[in-house]
Amino acid sequence: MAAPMVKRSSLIINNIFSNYIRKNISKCKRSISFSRVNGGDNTSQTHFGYENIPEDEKEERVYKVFENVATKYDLMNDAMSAGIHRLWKDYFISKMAPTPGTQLVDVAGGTGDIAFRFLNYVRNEDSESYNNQDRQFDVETPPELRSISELDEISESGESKTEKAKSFVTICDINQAMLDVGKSKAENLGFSSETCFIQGNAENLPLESNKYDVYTIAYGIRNCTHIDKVLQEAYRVLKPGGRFMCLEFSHVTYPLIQQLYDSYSFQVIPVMGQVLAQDWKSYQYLVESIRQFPKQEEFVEMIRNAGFKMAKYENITFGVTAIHSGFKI
Amino acid sequence: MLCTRTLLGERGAVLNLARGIILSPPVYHDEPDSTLKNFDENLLKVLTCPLSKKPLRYDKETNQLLSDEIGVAYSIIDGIPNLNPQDARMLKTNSNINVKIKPTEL
Repeated sequence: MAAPMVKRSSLIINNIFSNYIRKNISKCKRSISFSRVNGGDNTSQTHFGYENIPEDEKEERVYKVFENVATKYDLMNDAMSAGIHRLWKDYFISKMAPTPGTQLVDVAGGTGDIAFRFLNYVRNEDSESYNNQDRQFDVETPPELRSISELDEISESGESKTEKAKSFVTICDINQAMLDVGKSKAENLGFSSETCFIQGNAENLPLESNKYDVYTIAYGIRNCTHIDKVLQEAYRVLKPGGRFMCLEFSHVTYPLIQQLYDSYSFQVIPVMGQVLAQDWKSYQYLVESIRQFPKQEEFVEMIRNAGFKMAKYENITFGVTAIHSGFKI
Repeated sequence: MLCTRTLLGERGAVLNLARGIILSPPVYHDEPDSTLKNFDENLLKVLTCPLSKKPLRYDKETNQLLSDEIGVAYSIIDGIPNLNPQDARMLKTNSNINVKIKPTEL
């Protein structure tokens, strides 16, 4: 049966890595802290992984985590998920199905994974669009019925040139190091003219209201101190009709797979972090923060409370990742 | 197949991983480049002060973005403006902004 096999395999994983840990425990800085710190009368507490810390501290500690991991971020993503995170992000963009001319704001988008995928997608869309197809008709269509995607200047006086809006991504992240990596990637990949990088807080975006067609936050919202504020800001900056999309690690729905996933998360990932990035603590925080994030149903309720309509979620890979979506209607 | 291309393609996961582990510096290495450092003034069209939500003014000499209505300055590092309220400075007192102040109270 499946259950004993799963238990056996998770025991094997346990054995191998507990041996490794025992041998290297002095080298590894482990911070699995289950202590409950009672704050003073006025300080409210929040979670940082499994640790309880004052709310004011969380932002700084998250900042330090990402400052440490920034240069190896992409490498570690590939290692931890065996490259599957790329498929998840590709699927995310295909679900968004943006059209050319979309204004995207990508929050917590530091290294630009989502932004660059979005730009590649709309570039491909563009090259297949009406403009490049030879459509020869016998009938001359009146000016007012000409397709808006036509780039030809209308020569009649008084009429303005129909301009096609260019797709643009505003990448906002709280961490300077992540943005630096993202900016140099954009330069190397040739996306500089279609992206801009801003350092800012998701709870207080330095952007005008009602400006963006799509708001995305991929693997970032669980690091924010006040998720409800992030959702409110998302609602504010979106145009009416705009879409909120969140890609985030979530809770596995099947107990058998959950056991395997937990073993992998707690035994393998921090060790990988220590070996590849010399940083056990940050990756311990990563796996703990995933467990602390609200479950799919709870998060979708928070999205509804922020004012979004048609809020729903979709599990990917048995719930390891989930896409939450809502519309500002 | 899409998966294979994603995992093994030109910038695929496996190759990237191998490159990262076996070879030394990562592909995207930060090089001092003057174009990276310059702040693009076109950004002023999209940016606002995170606290007052009003437009910002770019001060070239000090390389800062100023929010005149509330007297707050935001620095620009490597061409990337830092508009995190926690890192902002009050112009009058030249001290860090008091984070406890809610935007509506300013």
